[in-house]
Amino acid sequence: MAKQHPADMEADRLIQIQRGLSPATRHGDIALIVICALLILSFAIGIYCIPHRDFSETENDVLQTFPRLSSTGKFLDRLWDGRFMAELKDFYTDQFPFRDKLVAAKASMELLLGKGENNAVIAAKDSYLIKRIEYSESELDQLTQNLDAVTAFREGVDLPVTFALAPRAIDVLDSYFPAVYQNDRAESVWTLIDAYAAEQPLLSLRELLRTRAAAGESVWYRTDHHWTTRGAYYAYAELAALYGYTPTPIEQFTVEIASTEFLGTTYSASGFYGTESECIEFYRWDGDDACTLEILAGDEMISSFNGFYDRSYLEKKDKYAAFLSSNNAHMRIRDTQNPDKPTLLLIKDSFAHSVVPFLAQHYNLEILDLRYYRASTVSAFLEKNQVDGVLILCGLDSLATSNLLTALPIGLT
Amino acid sequence: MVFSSLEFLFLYLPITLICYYAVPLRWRNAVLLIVSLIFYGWGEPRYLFLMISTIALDYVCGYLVGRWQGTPRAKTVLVIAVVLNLAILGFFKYYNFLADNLRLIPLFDFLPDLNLSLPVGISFYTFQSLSYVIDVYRGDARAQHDPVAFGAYVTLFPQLIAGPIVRYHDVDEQLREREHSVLMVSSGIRTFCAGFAKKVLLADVAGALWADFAAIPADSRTVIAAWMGILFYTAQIYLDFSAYSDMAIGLGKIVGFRFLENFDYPYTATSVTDFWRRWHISLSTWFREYVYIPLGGNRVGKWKLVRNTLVVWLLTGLWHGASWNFVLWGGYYFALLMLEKLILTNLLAKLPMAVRRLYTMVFVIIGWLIFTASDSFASGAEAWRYFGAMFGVGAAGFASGTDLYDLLRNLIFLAIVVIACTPLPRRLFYRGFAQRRWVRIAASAACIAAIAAGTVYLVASGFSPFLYYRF
Repeated sequence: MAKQHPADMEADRLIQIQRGLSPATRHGDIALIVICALLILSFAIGIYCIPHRDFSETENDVLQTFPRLSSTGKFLDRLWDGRFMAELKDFYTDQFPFRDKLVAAKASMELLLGKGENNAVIAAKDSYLIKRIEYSESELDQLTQNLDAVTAFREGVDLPVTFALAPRAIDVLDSYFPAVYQNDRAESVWTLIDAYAAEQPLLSLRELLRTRAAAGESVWYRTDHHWTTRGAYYAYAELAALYGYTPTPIEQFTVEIASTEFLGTTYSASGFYGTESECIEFYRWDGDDACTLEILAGDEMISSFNGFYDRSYLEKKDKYAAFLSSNNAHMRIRDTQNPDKPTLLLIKDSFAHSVVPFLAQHYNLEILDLRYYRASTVSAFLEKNQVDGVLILCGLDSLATSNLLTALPIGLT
Repeated sequence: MVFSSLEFLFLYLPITLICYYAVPLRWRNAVLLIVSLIFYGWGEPRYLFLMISTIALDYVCGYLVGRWQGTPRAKTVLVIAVVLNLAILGFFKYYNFLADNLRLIPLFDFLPDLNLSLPVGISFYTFQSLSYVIDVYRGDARAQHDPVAFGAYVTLFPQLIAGPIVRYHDVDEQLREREHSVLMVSSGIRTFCAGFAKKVLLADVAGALWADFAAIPADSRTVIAAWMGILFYTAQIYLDFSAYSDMAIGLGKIVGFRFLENFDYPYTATSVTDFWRRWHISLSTWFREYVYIPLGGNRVGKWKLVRNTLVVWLLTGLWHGASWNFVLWGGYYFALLMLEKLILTNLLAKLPMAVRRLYTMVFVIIGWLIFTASDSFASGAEAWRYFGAMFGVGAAGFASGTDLYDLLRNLIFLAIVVIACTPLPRRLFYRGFAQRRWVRIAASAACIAAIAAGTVYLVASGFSPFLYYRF
């Protein structure tokens, strides 16, 4: 038999030390066992005693309730392929007692350890929550594919095409960064963008918003990844200059405070649940209610309403979705008072939603979200519908993390 | 199921322990067998039958070997047991790898793609079960006639899916009689809590940091980023795996078993040879006792010694995974160990401790890059490029601002990680435990804090896979 490993001799020695202690120390051992047992049992039983939630507002996601033990045959099936166990696992994660408090506690512990961020969300100055976004090789590939698709599209259509890029919070809010934070890894994607912009027309909205942010204007939500309506206005003003008309001065809009209780996506991801909520504003102009927004599936209209705002979302967590009623594959905006405005085809992600109310002063809009639009191709759409120009307006992050624009040139010759 | 999950800690564990301690002594092996089968079936219901057939096979073989001990028939049965066990392991673990490589030869392109998923823990329990038959054959242990006790030995949930690999003769006695006492349970809780904290609070966090650094595009990877990344991986793999062993040893004590230690602070090793005396001890011991020594060990000529060492290390590499980088990893350690044995030993002995530790860690760290190449990189070329960046070849400069920011914000975490890799906490505990009451109270408080903080992190992440789960 081989000789004993030093590590085992150590372990034996510890047990011997414990054995050699006076019997009184056994009370301490018993106390440890009892406290651990109580701690574990209280949560083990507690999870079945508290009310279970079906939906988490913070995460904007459906929660797993206790897996159903329905008819025996099905139950055995679900046991055999492991679905029951997977659901039970989710149940424990989703319904754990004091879950939100524990998630917040983790965020606080990370700050205590001096990490300055949690789940890649930086706790920045003035309660700004800024998501760190750094792209991997495959995300940069995705971005290149999207950019190339725009180039191919531009070459394949006979219409004026404008391509405007919304930056990420981290590109704009550098004046709010904590002193120690250095942005160069997140920044490196701009080498690629700048190289593209040197070859192809691209309206980058970054510098303008960054200057405004540095001047203390709130162009970005503190708790969300989108720009504020004020930020959207500056994007609109920049577009207007490009299109050659004078943008409506900002003072001429009536600001409606739609909600003061907005806590956005960055907030949810961060775990910094002590952060204060903020306002969502609608910039209203005379006659904007005369515009109708139609949501279409194929050629059929599913629903429509007046104006650009679906206020039912203001009661929910995702209040930004009140702009244009969240993401839809195809929307159409018509001004019933001035039907003769030129028509703009807008290819977009959610960044465009808060810009549309400004654009609608000058245009009727056909709005496509190519992540969801399956009815036909953009080229077929252009054959069927008369438009005067195309605007591609989306966030940089969508280009790196989704195939937002890759379907653009399909069917063009 | 893994130990660092909410359903283990707050559902499986309390029910298991209540059942275990509620029944009389003579039923406890039966309870262990049942709960362990549930533990295994929880993750892999389909592979339960495979495990039960391994148990049945080795139970029968062990029985026959014991009965025919000393006769040629015993040897025949032993050979059958070894061949069948390795055939099962080989098929489920290596078929995909073998077929993928053989299909490159036109003659073999008929081999179907079976897409087998690796049965969890098969590498661990097969080795364990096999050690039993061999021990009985060698007379190191008596044949276990009680199928329940034998089944409990193979399936024992604490070490079922990720070790340590418990050899049969080490627990033979304990299967018949073991110590259930306040001392064992409280000591088990301390060991378990240390492992739990190490896994959830340190290993998983280090793992997330490694993932971040590995994802930096090669074009913007700096020297510092490459080193920080692989250092976080180095921390992760030790803390993760040793944490699992700690939890296994702790849970073992709670149900009365003493398992042997699996790690002995490997990152304080003073040579690569020393490192392998301290890393995954139960696996090295297994290979030494059941492969290296039967091959003649080191009491053979120089060339046979080289051959024996090569065999053991290629097998060790392959045991970790069916992929070429693991073979390379085994070969890498073979080369280093041979180099040390034949040339460096005297030279190393003359060097200061700090230099020897640094030398060891540099080679261990490079070893981990080979080890994780198939997991963390899209191709071998990518891993090679990462290796280059560590030494400035093709790196985007020495350090970027973000690298330094990440270093700075993780300084406290890094300090904790470094301390956790050394024997320092254990030594402090030893010194004070016997003499000072407050040390004992602080140790207990730390255990409770570990459960609480670990639970907080588990709930917050909802994601905590074990690295060693798939071997």
